[in-house]
Amino acid sequence: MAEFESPDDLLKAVRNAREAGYHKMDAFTPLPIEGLAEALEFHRIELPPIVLVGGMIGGVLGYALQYYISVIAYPVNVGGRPLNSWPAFIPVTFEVTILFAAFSAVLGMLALNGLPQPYHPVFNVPEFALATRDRFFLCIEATDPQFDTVETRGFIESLHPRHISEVPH
Amino acid sequence: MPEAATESRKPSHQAVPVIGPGHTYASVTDKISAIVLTRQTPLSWLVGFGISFSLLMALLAASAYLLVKGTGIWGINVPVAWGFAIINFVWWIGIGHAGTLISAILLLFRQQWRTSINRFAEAMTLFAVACAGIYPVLHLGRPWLAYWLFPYPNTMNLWPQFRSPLVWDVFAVSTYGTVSFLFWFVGLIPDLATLRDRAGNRLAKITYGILAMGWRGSALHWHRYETAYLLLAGLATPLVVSVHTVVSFDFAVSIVPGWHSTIFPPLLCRWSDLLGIRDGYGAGDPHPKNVRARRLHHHETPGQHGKDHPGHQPDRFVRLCHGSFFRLVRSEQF
Repeated sequence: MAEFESPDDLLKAVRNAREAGYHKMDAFTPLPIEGLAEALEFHRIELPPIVLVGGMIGGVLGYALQYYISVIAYPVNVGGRPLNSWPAFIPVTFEVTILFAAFSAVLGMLALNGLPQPYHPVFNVPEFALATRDRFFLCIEATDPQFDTVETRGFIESLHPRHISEVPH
Repeated sequence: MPEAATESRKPSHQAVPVIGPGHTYASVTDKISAIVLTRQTPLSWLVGFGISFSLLMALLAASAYLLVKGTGIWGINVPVAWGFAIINFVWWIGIGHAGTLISAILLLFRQQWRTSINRFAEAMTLFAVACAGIYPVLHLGRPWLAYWLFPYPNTMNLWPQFRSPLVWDVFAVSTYGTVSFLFWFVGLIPDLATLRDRAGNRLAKITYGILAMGWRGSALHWHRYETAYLLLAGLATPLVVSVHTVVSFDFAVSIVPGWHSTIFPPLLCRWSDLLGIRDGYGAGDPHPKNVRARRLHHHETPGQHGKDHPGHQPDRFVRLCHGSFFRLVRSEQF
């Protein structure tokens, strides 16, 4: 794991590592860096469809709840007007849609990120506490097919990081 | 002259540097985390808290009197009116809305100066929604039965009336409170991780650690996090408008002459946004005295107070809101 002082250094290091053939790696930063996920070969769109489906489920459930109550379970005849008075059901349907969509966004994000996660090997490195302050880390994982303790260390040294540490696990 | 005009407009097209001169990533982090971690609670805060706390006790006493005597103590003599309670309800919801607007709409518009105010704008929203929620419950007459408003299967075989704005309120306000909490909490996660890594004592470390849920700032996590945050902002923005629309329906859906009016939703939304944004931003940064926040976040050095300076964008925004609110009040001829 290599420690860098600026987002630009980290981005450069990630690009170099990719050119050198490393694929299983991750970067850790105190703030979101534009283009870093792309540099790490991450292009998928995962969250928006989850939120869309969540919102649609919410909308259907919201309307179904009101339909069940007003038409089936507890019909109230108001001057012979239709029981399924849909315009009056729109506000609640909308609110429930938003509620479900918001929950899918937050829970979806946490689930895809694998959080909450009580333990992760990177926290074993003492310097890693700075990853939430002002340091930018690149971690090449040992599961990468090209990983070799000596060679990879040499490669990381060529990136001129501030500090190199091995992540015990 | 045209040259000068372009010059002064320039900053809005360029990205204003987020970190002020004399600060680095580290110094900003240290300064802000010191507020919660190391710095002593100032005496003035305790005094302010004491005053607020005694006012809270006054609210409790007044509420107890209300529960004993009934809503008649508010001078309500029309059976369908809530009077005092609805005024407070709408007022607090309006304040809350501005908090969400500051945070969500400014995020969508990529206004970077938002970062100096969004957290407490969101906190303001949460507390404002809590305050707002008190009043509809208090005016019910039998507040201890407030849970009857929720649709749940019960032995009485009763269900709520979904054609009533009061039931819409229940869904609108509870959704709004929940989504505001989610938005606020998602925004907090990386900061909680920062505090976890800075905290000195074990208890604080464990507490922040649990709340941060193992956030480690991974690039892929940030990527999904930013998408989620943006989506939440996109959801919160129409939600704000819908909630205040529902609130205005409390008046407009009635058949009382003069109140049964379609202008109410846009009117109330606009009023609350303008007033609340002014209050929200004014409360956090009563310009021009408090320049500390700006020194951290904006392109402004101490002593620089030029009016056309890019650092003054928020102030200009607040003044704009203030001005248009009063223009609106005059034009509505209330």
